[in-house]
Amino acid sequence: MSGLEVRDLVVAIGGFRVVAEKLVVAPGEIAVIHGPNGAGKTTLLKAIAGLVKPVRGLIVINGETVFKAYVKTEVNKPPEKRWVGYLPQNLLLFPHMTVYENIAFAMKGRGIKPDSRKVSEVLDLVGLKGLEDRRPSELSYGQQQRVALARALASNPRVLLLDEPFSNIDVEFKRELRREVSRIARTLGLPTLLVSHDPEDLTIADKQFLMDKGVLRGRV
Amino acid sequence: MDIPMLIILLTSLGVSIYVIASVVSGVGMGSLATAFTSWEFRSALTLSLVAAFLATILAAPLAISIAYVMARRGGLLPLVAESLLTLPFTTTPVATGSLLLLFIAQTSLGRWLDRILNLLFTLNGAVLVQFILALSTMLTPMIEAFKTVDVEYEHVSRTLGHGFLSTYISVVIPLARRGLLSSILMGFMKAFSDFGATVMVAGIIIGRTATLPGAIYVEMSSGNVNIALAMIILSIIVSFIISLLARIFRSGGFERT
Repeated sequence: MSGLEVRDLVVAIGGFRVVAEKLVVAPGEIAVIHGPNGAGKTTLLKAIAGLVKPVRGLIVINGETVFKAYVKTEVNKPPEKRWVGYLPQNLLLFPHMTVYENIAFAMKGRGIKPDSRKVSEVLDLVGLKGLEDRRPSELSYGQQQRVALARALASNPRVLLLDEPFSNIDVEFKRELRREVSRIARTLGLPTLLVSHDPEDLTIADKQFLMDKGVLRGRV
Repeated sequence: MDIPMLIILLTSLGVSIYVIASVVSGVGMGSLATAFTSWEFRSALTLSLVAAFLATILAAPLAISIAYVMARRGGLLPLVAESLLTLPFTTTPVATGSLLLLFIAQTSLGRWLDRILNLLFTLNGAVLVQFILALSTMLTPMIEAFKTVDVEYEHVSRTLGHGFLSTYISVVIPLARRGLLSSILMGFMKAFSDFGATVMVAGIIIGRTATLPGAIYVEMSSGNVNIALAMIILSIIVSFIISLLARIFRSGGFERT
């Protein structure tokens, strides 16, 4: 199937285990994993992105198996070959690059030749134009969040993974950004997995999950 | 006005100028000026710069690669490896030089290397010694420089479609650049100022292997104080400039908390 599919996934970090028995997100659908800090939400996102290697299970992105391990590891594609748009909690815009260069870097990673028109289009998508020459340190936190989202989208992803994307911003802007993420995911038909400890984020969810002490429970 | 800083600066400047000026006045300005244009001076300066520059250029890429690998690993093994690799920096230079001399002269591998690279009592030998010293000097500050780069930047770059090498070149190196540049300069300084290790392998042949520290020793021993003093003054100036640049790079400008 296209979209995101996770089955029987077990990730072990030290003595902590994260288990996701079944997680399916269709194109244009938004799934929100809710749960307290330290429950294993970020670990699950990282496992899907290829940044943490699970012990066993299956991850399929847009019909392509990117991780498969039951008795032994059969498939384990590196992060650069998974085509995920990953927005980490602390944004991590490259501080030595301008906004333009951050977006262009994402495009280059996918073999897209960046130019000012393409970069403007992506920035327009998140309602942020005219800041191409600024460094991340010259932007407000809200603007940085939009740029980080734009950068994730510029890499032409097949799935969007958002880690606490609305934290550390004021209530009004939080609502606005939620609406935009929802609009973008649906417009681009991107399966979107969002993890959050804020119950308010469930308002944009088509599917809801709860991560409790490392175990993913469905609450559709 | 920052009075405490002014006191520290003026005192250190005053002491340095007093010591140098009193020695220079003993030798005489005319004699010193002649020394700066002497063949011995120019030859020692050229050999020093060539050897230290080559050693630094050769050591830097290797040190950067090793430091990155070690910075991204935890546990005891990287610490043991770092302690081993920085031994030439932490051990007295004459011991490092002596060990290298014995290795080159007495072992079959050393003799083979000497045949291929012509190491003993040549500038090549000086470059080899200084390469080892520069590498061991650069390593620890480079590891620290890489540790300041959040590994999550690499993760993000990988998810954006960039492989390891592209991430390393476009993200990791630029983010660690200040610390790396500072480390390279410190490595150059170590190579440029070494006496003990270099003379053990390369000797002090004026015009062929005598770098500034070795030449200072020879000129002082021969009573050519004016030439030695010219070399000392130049060494101090070069050391000061490189040291200042390294500190400016490391702190990212003139900021200090």
